[in-house]
Amino acid sequence: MNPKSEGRKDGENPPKIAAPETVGTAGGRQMLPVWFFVGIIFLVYGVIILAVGISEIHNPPHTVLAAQLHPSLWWGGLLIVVGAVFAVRSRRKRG
Amino acid sequence: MNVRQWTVSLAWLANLSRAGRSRAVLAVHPVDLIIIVIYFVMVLGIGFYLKRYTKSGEDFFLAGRGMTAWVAGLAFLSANLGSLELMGWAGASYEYGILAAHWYWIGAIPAMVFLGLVMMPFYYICKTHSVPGYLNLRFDRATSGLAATCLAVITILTSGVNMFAMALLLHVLLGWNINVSIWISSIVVGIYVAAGGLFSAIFNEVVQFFLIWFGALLVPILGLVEAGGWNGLVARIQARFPGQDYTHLWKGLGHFSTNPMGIQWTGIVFGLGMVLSFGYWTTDFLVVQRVLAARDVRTAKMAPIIASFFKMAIPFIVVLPGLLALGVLPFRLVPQSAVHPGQYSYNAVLPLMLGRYCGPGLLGLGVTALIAGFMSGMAGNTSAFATVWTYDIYRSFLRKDAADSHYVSMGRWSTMIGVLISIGAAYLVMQFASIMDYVQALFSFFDSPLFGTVILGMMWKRTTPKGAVWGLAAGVTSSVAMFVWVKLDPHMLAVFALSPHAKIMAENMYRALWSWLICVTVTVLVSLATKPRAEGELTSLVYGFTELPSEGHLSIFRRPIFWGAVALAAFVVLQVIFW
Repeated sequence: MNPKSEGRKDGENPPKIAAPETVGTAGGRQMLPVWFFVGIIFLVYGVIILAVGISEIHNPPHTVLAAQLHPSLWWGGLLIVVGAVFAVRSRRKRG
Repeated sequence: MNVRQWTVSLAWLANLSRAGRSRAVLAVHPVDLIIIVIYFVMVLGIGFYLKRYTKSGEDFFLAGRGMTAWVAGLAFLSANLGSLELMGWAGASYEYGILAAHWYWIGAIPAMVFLGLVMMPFYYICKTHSVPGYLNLRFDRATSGLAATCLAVITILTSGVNMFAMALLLHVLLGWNINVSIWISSIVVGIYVAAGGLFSAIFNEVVQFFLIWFGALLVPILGLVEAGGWNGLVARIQARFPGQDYTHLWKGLGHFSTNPMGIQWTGIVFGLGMVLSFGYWTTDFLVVQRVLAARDVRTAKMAPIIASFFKMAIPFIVVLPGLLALGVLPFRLVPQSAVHPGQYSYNAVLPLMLGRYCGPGLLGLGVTALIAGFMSGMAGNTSAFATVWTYDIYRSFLRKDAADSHYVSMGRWSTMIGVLISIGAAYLVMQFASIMDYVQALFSFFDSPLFGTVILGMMWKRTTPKGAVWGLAAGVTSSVAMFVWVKLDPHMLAVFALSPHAKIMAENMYRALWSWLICVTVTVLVSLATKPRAEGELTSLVYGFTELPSEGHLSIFRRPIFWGAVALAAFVVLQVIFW
């Protein structure tokens, strides 16, 4: 921001943005939307937690009250689904 | 509602730490550590990825003014969603029941809708980069300088306190070394904010927002399963605490003595709902900066309204765990002052419930949610400090005509220096723990009077620069004076809060109310006695002199006023349901 651009005196409108969630470009490459990063981290966490859940099917942790509900299993699965939706949709938008 | 003076009792953490507790509250599995490490790698990766897109001052300080309403709205909320607040309010819910939800509903929703529909257009159209920047345009450098200096000091000290609190919390909960936690977390935040500026802070805040939700959401879900749903939970609480009302929002607020919080409905409605919340949500630059990054006026109006819907849902992951603990924990939690070996204070509710329901992996996700909350708060303070320092202090008073690249460079350096000062503040707090209470109260001294100054400046053309600076100074001074007076003489609480039955929460509400009234009164009186600015200078700054973009061509579902009305209707429905 130029020092003179502070405030209305500058007289210009805010910059026009090409696409939602992706405001910048560098070297001709458009910025990945934030949803892509949300999707990736959810996918990774989902895989890890689902793996833990699978390992706990025959060996539930004794200290966890709700172990019989297998929360790791379905929560890991949910994270994978949510992560995949975010990642795939944001990649399509970018394309 | 971020009422910083009401957070987890840091003294609780410090006492546990000093007592050399033999075991951590939570037992962490290696898979939990993997999840936490992945989180740190991810936030750093986002920072380095975004660095290449951060070229100009507008990129660094305002994220290119290109964010959608959803991104700006979630970042707006995430910057407020600190872990200390989550844990503190879960503890408050155990102590006070559903009354704690007032801070998420009447203490936030009307103010967020008001920010979106009424105030945001002025902030956005005048193209300011900050709240002190608006004051500079509307009034003068004196008012702006006063606000900027207060904000810079407060943000950096708050960041230091957060940093120390996180390290202490990780030490108590997980047994981690305090020094390592302080340095690693602060350097990570410093690197990613310095690299990508507000871009990076906002992107990470959105990621952190989802992590907080998905990390904490299992506790209420599994808790409700165990308790037999909401009705089962209410029945359990009534059976375990006969004669006490933990599940009604307004029923017990007729008098100070008929509810566990020691407050009356006037304090909640006027002190919290009309002053504290409006002061925080409409003028606190930490959150407003996120909305200034929106790509156009309609987006800037929609962002806080979208955030208000998520804010309404937060009691599900904060207040409900506290209520569930009342209903299902086999032991009683006690006040901080009554903790004996083998007991836990109210503030341990959230970690205890995480430990109760989450096994390996899920516990790591829950702990990551807490760390994410800390880091989003730290990053918010750090990026706000960099902006206020660079534009409202350095550029206004020290170097006016440098190139844009110079200010970007100053922004990066001030981010890292700000982090280092925060680390210094963290160690200062470590030596003098009582400082924390005062630092946490700093925002409360400032936000309410600032709201008086800004709202008069926006809505009343007669407000003069002299009126603004004197009103703001009077409001802040009176707030500090009332705080100190009550500290020195606790009997004054009854005077300020209008009842001998009032408790400390009521003091916060009424102090905010009085300091706002003093600010407004002084501003009006001085303004009437001094010369106002010419009307031609008020364009885009004051109601009646600002051309607001028409939304007549938009469908009803794309209009902010429609969604604002829906948010307010949902807010009213919640009050009726839990009356």
